[in-house]
Amino acid sequence: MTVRFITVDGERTAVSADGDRRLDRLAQAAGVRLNLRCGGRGVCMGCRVRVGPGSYRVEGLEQEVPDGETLEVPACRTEVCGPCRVEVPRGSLLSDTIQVDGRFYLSCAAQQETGLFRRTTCEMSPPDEEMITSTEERLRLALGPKAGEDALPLSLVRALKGIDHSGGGPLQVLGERDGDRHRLLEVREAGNGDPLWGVAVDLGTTTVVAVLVDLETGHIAGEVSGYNRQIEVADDVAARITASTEAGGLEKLRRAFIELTLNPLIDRLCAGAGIERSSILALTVAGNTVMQHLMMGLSPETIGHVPFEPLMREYPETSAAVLGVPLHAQALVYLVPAISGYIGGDLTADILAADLHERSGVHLLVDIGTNGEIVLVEDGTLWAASAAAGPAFEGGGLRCGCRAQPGAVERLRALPTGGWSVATIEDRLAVGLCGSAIIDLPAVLLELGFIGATGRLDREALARHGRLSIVVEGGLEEAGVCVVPGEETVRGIDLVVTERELAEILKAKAALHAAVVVLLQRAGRRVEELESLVLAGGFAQYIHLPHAVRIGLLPAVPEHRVERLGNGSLAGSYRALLEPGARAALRGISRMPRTVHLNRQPGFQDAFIDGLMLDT
Amino acid sequence: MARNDALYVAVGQGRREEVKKIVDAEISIGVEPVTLLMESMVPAMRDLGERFARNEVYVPEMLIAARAMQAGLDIIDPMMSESGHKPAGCVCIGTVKGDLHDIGKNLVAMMLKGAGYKVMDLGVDCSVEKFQQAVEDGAQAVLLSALLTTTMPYMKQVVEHFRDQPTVKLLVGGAPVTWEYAREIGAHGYADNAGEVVNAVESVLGVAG
Repeated sequence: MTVRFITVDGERTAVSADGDRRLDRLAQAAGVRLNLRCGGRGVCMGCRVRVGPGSYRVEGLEQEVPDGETLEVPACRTEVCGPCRVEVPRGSLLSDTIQVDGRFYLSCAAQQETGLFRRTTCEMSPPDEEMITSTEERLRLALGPKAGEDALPLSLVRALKGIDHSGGGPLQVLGERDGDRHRLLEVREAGNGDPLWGVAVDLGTTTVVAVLVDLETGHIAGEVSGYNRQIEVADDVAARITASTEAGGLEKLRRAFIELTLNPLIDRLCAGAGIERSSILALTVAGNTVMQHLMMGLSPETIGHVPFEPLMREYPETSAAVLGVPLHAQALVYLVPAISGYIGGDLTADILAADLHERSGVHLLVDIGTNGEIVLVEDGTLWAASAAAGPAFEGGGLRCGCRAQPGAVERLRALPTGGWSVATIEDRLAVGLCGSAIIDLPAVLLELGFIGATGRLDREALARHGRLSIVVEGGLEEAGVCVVPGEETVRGIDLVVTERELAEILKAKAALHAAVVVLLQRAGRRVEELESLVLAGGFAQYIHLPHAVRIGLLPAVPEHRVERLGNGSLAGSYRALLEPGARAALRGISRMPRTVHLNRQPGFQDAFIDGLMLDT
Repeated sequence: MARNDALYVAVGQGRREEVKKIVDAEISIGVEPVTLLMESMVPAMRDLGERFARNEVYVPEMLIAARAMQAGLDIIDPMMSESGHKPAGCVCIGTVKGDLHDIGKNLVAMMLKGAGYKVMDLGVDCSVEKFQQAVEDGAQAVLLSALLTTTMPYMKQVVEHFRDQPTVKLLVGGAPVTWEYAREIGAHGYADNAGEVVNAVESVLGVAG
């Protein structure tokens, strides 16, 4: 049975084999990428499409659409029962213009140290008729002791073709050097002025950022980001672990990252800088442990249950070609080592980027993302915990939640009038609420008296203000607050957050709050003793700190002690590309933290319940 | 006789310290612990559960109230066993092997205690053997909780294990668990949220008599 999808880009078809009739999966098969933000639960209406005449099952109920009519349905909750035609509005397509911040701020004040990869010159002596030797040996001699005893790598010698070495003379040598380790990469014409290129990647569960870096200067020549296409296979970390255990699942996930996500991003970087992939000498990647496993074709299955032990924490540097990422023939891929099953290379990278391992005093690092990790440092001792806050802060799980993109509501502020101001990214009509606004909302409602300590809305007060919404779902009524009225939104529909969704936000922030409390307890320290609070993660850049403290998400640390790292994962990955010693430091850091299993801490449940309340 | 309104309200609003104060005060003037439980505390949790099922309160308030209820129970529980109070039934509950999540499971345990059941809370990371032991110690129903899709499959093993002990009833729940999954693995009961658990247990065991 054939299903035709009409989108702004043209028409695509999918043929449904007997098994799958779900409209979102058929769309995927047809190459139509729908916005499946809530992971197919039918909550966000991001995948709404308009179906033509035919028979369907929507939310499990039979639906007939008569000739000449159409019906708007959520694709993830609709099954087709016969051939049909589906119109896909632009708003339901996965946007490629998401805003993921690649910016980061490194702790070191001085200029970025480089030198891991460098170019040097060597002098090759001319061939000698008296001696029986080879070009390769003559070159090795010129390179000196660092070339070692064995023959040079094949690819390096192959590349000599085209360089005139008949009379001897100077040559340019590209190499990697870290302490005692030397690795020869390429021999070039002496006058070659081309930069040496490397790529650093932040591998997120939801989004991936990559930067093109000049390895000699540290200059960032390009930045790209995109969705981790593994989302289309499985939504969150736990779902990906489960999917990887299914037949062919691990390979599917690996390819979704390497072929559908990473390679296209590298292509974009190369196109932007006008270079070839073969000029990229190195690739570094920092991400959470499960993502790193999937990328390497390692099963993350053991991370899914007690004791959450990963197959590997440190990974061997692997040829990029072997991993399916064509770069320079000698390019190796380096992964930042992970700390534990749930605290990955991204946190190790954060710690390096903030130089947390070398600071004296007590410091707290919080990385708020799809998962939520916390590290407490005291004079070289580290405790780390993973709070599994859930997707609430990234816009997931909320009807009107969205990722940061043009039109996303990013700021809400209480006004003297008793209402609130709304600011969107690029001042467009509102599309949804993104993370920073999701933090603002309970704070603003609390300030204006519209919400109680346990997250209950004051219906009368909201009604008086004209902002009460009653949402009916499954025959039950839920109270909600109209955050942005329809006329200010792109679809003309009110952006409403219900009490139930507010309860989800409370649970998410309670998890983080409790993690902080428990870690401080373990270290025997109080909030007042924190010398700094370091916030990592793209979304942390934009949080309005007073609101985060007001609702109890973050501990009350004075603003001058708060540091925003930006994308710490990318920062650490970047440093691993440039600095001799960075990789050794990262390895050392990954072995430092004592991992704390929050669920096993006696005070956790109490701290969690306390943390549920606003006004803590 | 009856209800101590102050206690009823304090439990419903999750005021832990106040619950302790009132319970202590009432016990000291000779009120029977079972009266406090059945006339004030149990109704408070049951009414809250019903409001939860109607979307009038949500998980945060349930947890806060449950904690307050537990504070009161901590005082009167030791006294109850002495008075020979007969529970509505006996169940065991645990988070399955491989999983450490317990806050939701603890809430469910509280709702059941609040409905007058004797609850053996087996904790987290529970193997089949633990559930078997609880059954031998008197549990009529086994409640399984899992919060990760990766640990859910263990529920199937537990259900399989009890297949040849048909008088033991199995119920499952937890965020990733669905009614379809419960049916698929052959569980006897399922609850979508803590507010529905008491009903689910009652219908599976037959209303306690």
